[in-house]
Amino acid sequence: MRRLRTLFMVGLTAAALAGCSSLSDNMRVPGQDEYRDDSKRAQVRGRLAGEDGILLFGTDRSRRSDAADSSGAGIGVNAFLWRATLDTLSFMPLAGTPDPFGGVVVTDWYTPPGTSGERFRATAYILGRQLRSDGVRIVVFRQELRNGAWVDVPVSASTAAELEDQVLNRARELRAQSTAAAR
Amino acid sequence: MRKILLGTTGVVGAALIGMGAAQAQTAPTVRVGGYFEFTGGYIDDTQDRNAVVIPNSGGRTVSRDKVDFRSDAELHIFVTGKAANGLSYGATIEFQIDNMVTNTGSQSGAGTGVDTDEVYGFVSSPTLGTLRFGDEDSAASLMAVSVPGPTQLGISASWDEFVAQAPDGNRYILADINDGNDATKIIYLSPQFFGLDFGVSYAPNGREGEEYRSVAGGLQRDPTDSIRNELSGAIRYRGSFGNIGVTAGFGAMRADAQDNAVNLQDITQYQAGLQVSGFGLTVGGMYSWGKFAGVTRAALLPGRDNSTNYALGASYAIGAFTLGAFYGKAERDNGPIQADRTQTLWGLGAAYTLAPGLELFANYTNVKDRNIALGSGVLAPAGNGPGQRDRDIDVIVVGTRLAF
Repeated sequence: MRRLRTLFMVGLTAAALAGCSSLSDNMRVPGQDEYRDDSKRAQVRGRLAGEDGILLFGTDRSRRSDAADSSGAGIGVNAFLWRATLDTLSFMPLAGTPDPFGGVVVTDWYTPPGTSGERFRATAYILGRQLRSDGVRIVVFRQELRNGAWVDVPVSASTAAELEDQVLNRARELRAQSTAAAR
Repeated sequence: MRKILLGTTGVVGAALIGMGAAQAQTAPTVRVGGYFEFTGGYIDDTQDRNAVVIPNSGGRTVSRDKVDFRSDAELHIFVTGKAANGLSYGATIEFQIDNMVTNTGSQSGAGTGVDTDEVYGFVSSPTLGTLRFGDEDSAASLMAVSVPGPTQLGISASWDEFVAQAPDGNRYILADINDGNDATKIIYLSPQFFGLDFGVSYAPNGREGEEYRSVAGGLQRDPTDSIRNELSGAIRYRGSFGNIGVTAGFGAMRADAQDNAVNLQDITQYQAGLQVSGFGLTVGGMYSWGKFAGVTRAALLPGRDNSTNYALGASYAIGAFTLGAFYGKAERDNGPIQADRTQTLWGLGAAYTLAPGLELFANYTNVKDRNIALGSGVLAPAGNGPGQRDRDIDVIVVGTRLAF
């Protein structure tokens, strides 16, 4: 009998553990608009301005997902990749204004803290409207100070690839946040 | 080479550090929303017949006019923000054009005064659920599942806004579980697990806003002032099976009756509802029961028993049109020796979406009201006329509503 109970407990624990992942998949907090609203406003289909209320102050974050993949959007390249590139390269100073239509971000020279004899700059190209793993290309340049003059030196090939990975990870996060916000 | 590697690792490391700063909080937004509505009504009501005495005419009476226009509007302010830890927060402040019902229940009659409707703040955690606090509907109302219908067609929708009060002071008694009258309360709304979520709310008394009454007139904390300890809760399920969507809910509320010489009974009300939708068609119904008086959470006179409400309805969306129909019946116990009051309704209607947020609608509602009591609890005099116990109403409403 005791053994049966032990078996039962083990089975139950296993079922609970197996259920954990599906619980997180099936759990979410309903949005503020998912409750019954007895206002007459709530019954009408659609909204005059196409969005729920007219924005008086602040930035509308909920529309980013619309802009990301649609063709007629305000910027010429994928918005997630664009934003992710800016976020990733934001530790370096930017050279000039980034071009959201051509999808080019050029940084100025940057010397990492703790080093004095070397500096880096990067150029990022966002290659299209789709959120794809080959949608971003980053080139890193490196110089060393030799005898009072900056000299070009080779950069490890993996550096650019790691930065690209950072951009892609960040883009994935932004897209997940945007999807969650839109729900 | 080693130096190159070190240097480049530094660059990537700096990029990683920079990521933290990029996940800043979302700046708050302020939005304004609301609606404007214009309606015209044609009312044929047996209680309007010879209901008005012409002054100084020796008691000559005339009927009320059958046509009326109304305008209505609300302005809502929504403030929302999101903290870096994922916590959403905000406030909703709704202003309404109101008939200005005063604390004592009398109406100023101006019809164009502005006061607040729902006014509440909220915090919402992505894992723990949402807390709302302020003048807001009770949990059972926020999660109620009821009869579907196009704009302004329903059990207590546009028709009752055109008719006179019955002798007991109520225009309609068929309604969903009471909404808590926006009494100031705290509401917890849970996360959803496998389509199921629940909510609970508590209001210490029936007053709202920053209301306090003069010492001479009593305070909202006086046990004689209004109902007390109003608890409300609901559980609902929302899911889909293939192309069929199912929403089901059960809600309940209870409150202590105010202390009163006639020993009013404590209030309970329950509601179960179901909606099934697919291919543009939604059918649904609700059944509500409990010990309450009138339309909503009014304490019940001693010796009176359960009230019931039920309604069934359907709506069908085809392009810009939504068509709908419903049938429902309410019963109130008029005491052991008097017949129950019954109110039976049916209605047909349609709404047309002219542009996003702009609708035209038209509907017809038929009302059969029997055994209306006076405010004192005694049946009104026999007959089907003004101030009498029976009543038949036909209402046609045509209007437009703009929502933004």
